[in-house]
Amino acid sequence: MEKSSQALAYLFAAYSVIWIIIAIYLLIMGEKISRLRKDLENLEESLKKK
Amino acid sequence: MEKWNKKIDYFLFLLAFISLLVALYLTFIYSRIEKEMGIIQKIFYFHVPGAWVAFLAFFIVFIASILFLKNKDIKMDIISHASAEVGIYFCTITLITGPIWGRIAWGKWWDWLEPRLDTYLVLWALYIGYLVLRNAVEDDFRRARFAAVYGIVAFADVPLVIISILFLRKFMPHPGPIIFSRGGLTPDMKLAFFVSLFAFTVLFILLLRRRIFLLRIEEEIKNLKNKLGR
Repeated sequence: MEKSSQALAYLFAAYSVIWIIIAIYLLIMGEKISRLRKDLENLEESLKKK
Repeated sequence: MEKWNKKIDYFLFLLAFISLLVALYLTFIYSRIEKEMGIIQKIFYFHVPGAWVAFLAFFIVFIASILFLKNKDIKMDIISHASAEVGIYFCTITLITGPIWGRIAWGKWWDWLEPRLDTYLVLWALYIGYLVLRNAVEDDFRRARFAAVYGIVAFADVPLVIISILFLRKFMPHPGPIIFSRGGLTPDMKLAFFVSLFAFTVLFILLLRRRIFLLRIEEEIKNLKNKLGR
């Protein structure tokens, strides 16, 4: 019984790992998107100045 | 930039979301608990699809790298870059869920004498190296060429991992030989496994498409900056 509940905890941990890793990936992508937006804004400003 | 079909992305998102929910139900409720390994066997329903997606991603890197060297098309370089990056995340999922299963099934997290584990760890390190290499080279074309050669050579480890999973069996059980042998899985387990495989593949295609889209925008911005002399 103890081993079975331990296995269940490990199973839950393993399943969570997937979504933690995917969430980390999406966060990094979100960061990249905001950086690209900033780059685009800067480019627009320099185009206006020109 | 060429027109990007967002409808495909929306469709993939919906498909991934629904299939992941169905996979969740089939894995934890519908499929039976395996007699020998117990409930921990259910890790296979996402550990193996994770490995499959990583192999698929690295295969795309391999093919796109060959095509880049042949046609010098920068789009192929973008595809291989995106695929390697997304593939690493799935490779990491497999690399973490494997030892969690091993802790219960084998009584230890890792066995350095297991060729299956070692070759897979090497695979992960190889593609981390691929991304490090991409960051290390400044010139776009040189970077693409080096990365393409590296992407082709690194793929040599994938058949080694598959061979070690299927044929180099030590005393420890592994899902690969069970799944690929006849009568290894009952119909309900097979259903859970293949739906999960499908869901992971759709999720991968979605993430890959989004990453390619972002890399293309990055490329466009870089070109614009060059034109403006910044």
